Amino acid sequence: MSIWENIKIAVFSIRTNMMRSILTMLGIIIGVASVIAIITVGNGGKDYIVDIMSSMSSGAVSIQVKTDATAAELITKEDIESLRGIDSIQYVSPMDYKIGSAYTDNETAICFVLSGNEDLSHVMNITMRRGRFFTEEENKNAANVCVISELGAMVLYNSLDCVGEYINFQVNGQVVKFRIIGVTSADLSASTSSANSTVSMYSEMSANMGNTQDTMMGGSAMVSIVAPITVTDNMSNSKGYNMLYVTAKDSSQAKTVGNAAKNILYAKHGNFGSNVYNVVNMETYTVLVDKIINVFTTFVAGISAIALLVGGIGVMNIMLVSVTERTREIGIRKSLGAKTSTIMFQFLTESIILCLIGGIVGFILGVGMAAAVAWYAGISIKVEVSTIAIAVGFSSAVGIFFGLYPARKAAKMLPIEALRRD
Amino acid sequence: MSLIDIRNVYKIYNPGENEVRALDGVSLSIEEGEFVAIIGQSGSGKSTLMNMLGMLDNCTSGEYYMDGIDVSHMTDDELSEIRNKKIGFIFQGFNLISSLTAKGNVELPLVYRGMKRAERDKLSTESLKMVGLEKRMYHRPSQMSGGQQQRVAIARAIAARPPIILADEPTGNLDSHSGKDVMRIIHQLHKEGRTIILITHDNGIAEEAQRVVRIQDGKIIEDYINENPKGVE
Ligand SMILES: Nc1ncnc2c1ncn2[C@@H]1O[C@H](COP(=O)(O)OP(=O)(O)OP(=O)(O)O)[C@@H](O)[C@H]1O
Ligand SMILES: [Mg+2]
Repeated sequence: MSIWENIKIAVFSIRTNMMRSILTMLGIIIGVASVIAIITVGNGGKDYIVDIMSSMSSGAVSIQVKTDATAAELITKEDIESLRGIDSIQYVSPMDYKIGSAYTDNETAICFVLSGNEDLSHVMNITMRRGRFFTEEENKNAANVCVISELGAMVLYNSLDCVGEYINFQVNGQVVKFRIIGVTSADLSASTSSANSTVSMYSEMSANMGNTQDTMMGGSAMVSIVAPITVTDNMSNSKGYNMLYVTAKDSSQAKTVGNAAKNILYAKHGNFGSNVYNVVNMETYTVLVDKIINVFTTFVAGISAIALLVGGIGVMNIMLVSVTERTREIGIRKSLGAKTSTIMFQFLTESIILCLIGGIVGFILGVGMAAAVAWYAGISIKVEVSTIAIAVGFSSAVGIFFGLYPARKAAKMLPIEALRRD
Repeated sequence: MSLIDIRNVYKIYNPGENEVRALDGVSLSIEEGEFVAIIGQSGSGKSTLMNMLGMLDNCTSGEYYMDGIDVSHMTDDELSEIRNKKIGFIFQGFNLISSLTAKGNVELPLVYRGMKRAERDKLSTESLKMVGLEKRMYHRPSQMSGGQQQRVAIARAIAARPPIILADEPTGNLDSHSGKDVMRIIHQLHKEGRTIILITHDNGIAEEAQRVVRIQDGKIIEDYINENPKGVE
């Protein structure tokens, strides 16, 4: 009997037993759909967490100067320029910050000013929602322009469309009037807190809050802005910087590039052995991220395994029932001359077709379910081929095994025994 | 050499206590072209004998030769092939597949013989015509009367033109009119040269056969040639 003939018999059998076929497929559909949905949503959630975590670091390495360093050991503009000349370095920016208060015509808030050169947007992963980042030209000319965080824009203007507005920054009696040229979605305060300066930053912040309390009108929300470092330089006539960020052209070389930059600083300042420059490659931070990701991965894998199991049991039950139901049919077929292999092939073909259709429908349903959940939860998902393969593969394997196993048992019976069943 | 030759066949259910000797040392040989009626009361072992002759069941002990070949040691698949090529079954309970149409059921033995679709089509239609069911070809068993189902079962048994027809109470569930229709078909098959083994508990029907084998409590108690087989009126 040809394969084509067999497929036709199987299709016919599936069609003539619509109810049973649908129930069987339902087992597969539910199995496949739930596994795909759970794995996909789980992975989407995981990616979301990973994204948040990794957006906090751009793969940049920071070099920090010890607090007890002398003024001559601070990082200078010339240091930055010479690091720029290094081939393996892609971006380099010094970093400074000021904390004071910000006010517009209507609002007042605590304000955190992060400053650097035009490369800062790259080393800190500052992505723009509106407008643009400041240019090299603006940095050179100490233009009073700034990029404001989304949150800050909402606090001060209750809208993201605030490009062109002016913001007054006040610290130690000085006032600088910044023109807003862009809005960023990056969480600026989180970026700096990853750079080991959390403690000093917050202590400074609370100190300034004391100073500015009278002008604060009780508004405790923090506004973060990014400005050219030349502007903050003018505010404090600084001799140099405590921190710089570099990124490597080859991101896997971040640590090496960090160390190279450190050695250049020692060379330029002639203070080898003083240990004033420290490369902070965010190892502790990475360990934390890894831990969180691992927990998530295990969690998703565990839930997926349960979904697979539940789906598998569903498929198994319906297969066992439907084949046991057909023992008599198998007996009839055998008494009319069907060989064991012919019967096995018929049931195999039927199982494969059911699993295939069930798998496709389950896949569509699962992706739909995942998309709905993702939409609701506000995360983005991508369906991976491996997920589909696992879901469809496992459910089909279970379906085929438990479709074939009882069929084989029935086919091996004496025809009369199979015929006596009802 | 006989077509069918069974020697000293026993079929014992529940050996030991409570045992049932469904076949208790049966020896029987049947020649090609014979029309044999096996008659006996309910529970005498007729169906058991038919299952044995049709190689659907194995015996507790005994020998079975078909065309001189020992079939008792053949594999399952070899037996399937012999059944497919040589035997047409008409079961006591029809044993139709409920999900298939009349035609689908009749085609089954042809499918397992590996016949091409066109040929299957021709043979199944022909045999359904022969039992007068050409108008019911695409009906399911559940949409047909008992007599019609019985005729589908007959059509299925004869579709592949097997040399042996094993019929277990083919008229058992039918009124006398339909019963006569069925017997007419069986006589027709016999005339075409087939070997007919007909199981019945009805003396009147047994009288229509050339040879009558009477069975009681699993033993053959009578085996005679009917000199004047009664024709169907
Ligand atoms: N699977 C079985 N297990 C135990 N006993 C059985 C089994 N099948 C049949 N028997 C017994 O074997 C004996 C013969 O049964 P069989 O079906 O051959 O009778 P029969 O002559 O065909 O009867 P009927 O005319 O009612 O069809 C009966 O006593 C029956 O109870
Ligand atoms: Mg019987």
